[in-house]
Amino acid sequence: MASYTPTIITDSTPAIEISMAGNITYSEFMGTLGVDVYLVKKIFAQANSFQQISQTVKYSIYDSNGFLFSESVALTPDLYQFRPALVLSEPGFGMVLNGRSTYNFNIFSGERVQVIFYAEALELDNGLDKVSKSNTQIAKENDNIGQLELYDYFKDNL
Amino acid sequence: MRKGETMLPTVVIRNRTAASASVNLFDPYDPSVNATTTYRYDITSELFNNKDRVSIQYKAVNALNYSVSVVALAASNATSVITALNGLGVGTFYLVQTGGNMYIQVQSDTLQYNTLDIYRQNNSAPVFGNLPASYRINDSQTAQIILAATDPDLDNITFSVTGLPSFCTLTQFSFANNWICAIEAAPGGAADDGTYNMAVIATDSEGASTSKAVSLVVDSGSYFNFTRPYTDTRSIAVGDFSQQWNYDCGLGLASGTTSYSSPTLGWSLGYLAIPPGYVAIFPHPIVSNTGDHILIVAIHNSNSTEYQDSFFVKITVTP
Repeated sequence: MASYTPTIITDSTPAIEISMAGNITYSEFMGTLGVDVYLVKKIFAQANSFQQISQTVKYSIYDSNGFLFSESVALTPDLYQFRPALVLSEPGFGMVLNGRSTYNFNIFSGERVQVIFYAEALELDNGLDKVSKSNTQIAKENDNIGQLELYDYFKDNL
Repeated sequence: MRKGETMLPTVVIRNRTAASASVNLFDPYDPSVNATTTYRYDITSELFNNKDRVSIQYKAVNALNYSVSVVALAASNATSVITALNGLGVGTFYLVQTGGNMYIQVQSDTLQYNTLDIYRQNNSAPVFGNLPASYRINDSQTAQIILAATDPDLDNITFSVTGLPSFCTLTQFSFANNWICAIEAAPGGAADDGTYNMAVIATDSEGASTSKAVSLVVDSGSYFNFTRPYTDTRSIAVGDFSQQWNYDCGLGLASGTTSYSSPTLGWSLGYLAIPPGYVAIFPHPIVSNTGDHILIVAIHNSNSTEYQDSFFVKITVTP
């Protein structure tokens, strides 16, 4: 058996690239998740092919105990779009983006997919300040966060 | 506190690879997304030949996620993926290159990469089974020498013989990755008496070969001789323990004075006996025997280590 040491090439172009429109980068946005959390109200996805856009999407989230919850997300075609597009209004469960959740799907070779999330933002540090001022707020805050069915990471710590 | 409904910035996902990929959006530990460090090892056709076996050893320290994959640059190339491991990992896979170049790609979410060694193992030569290669036959009988070979890389095998006597013919059979070489000897009488040394060469489709020496003594003695044809095909159902297949071997020597070779090709579904004058096969197929089996039987007198004849049976065990 011969040992072979190939030349190392640092590939500057990522195989899977994710970017965000506007001034904020994807990694910067990821850095805010956890401080800011988002309850997804509506999803709009667009791709170059119907085969791509009709891929099954799986949403997963870890709770504070480390348990993983997964839900399949079914989007419906948006007939008014020029390119294949799907829309999901009201996921039907508490879809939260908090840094402990993922939105998983397969992307075909050479494909480009755009996803837009319409969400309700919740700034948790503000919420925690209020809780510290008055314990009577705990139930109220829990109620608010309780709308995020799968999201109980901070609930246990309040 | 609620800040009201808002539209998050549009997320754009691009796949620049030649294969589909799974994307975990908003997962900070997905190493395949926007990986900042990629170690790429180009494999060119000059360095790695088709069907080379590649052993890869890598080590990542404190890496939350780590992945090693073989990526095809051309759509016609087959791909293999090694399971992502955190820590020390070792994997072996076949590199099947059908055109163009491939590369081994290492992606990590951290810079804790330590070592990645790629070992190249060349195509392996065929391997002969442990079958007898020393025969003594009668100069007026037709006898058969059977050898078998397999290839570690599952390549096709072609047999050839150097020093093949004029009264011998070579026939080749294949059953899955069991390749059988049958040399049929039909000497024409005392004129062909003598000792013949041959070399049977098994060559795989990649050009690697293995040689096995075969000696054949032809004289006027009386030896075992199976009734033709020397090949047989049988089918039996699982749980059928009632059958007995007899193969006449000519001489009626007393029981206990004969011997036979150990079957070498996965024979595990019964037993053999040698009553005077014939070899009896008693198949006892069980569920795990379902499928095809090749049984090779070679026979010799207990007074000699030289074998005198052989045959093989293809047995299909049906559910």
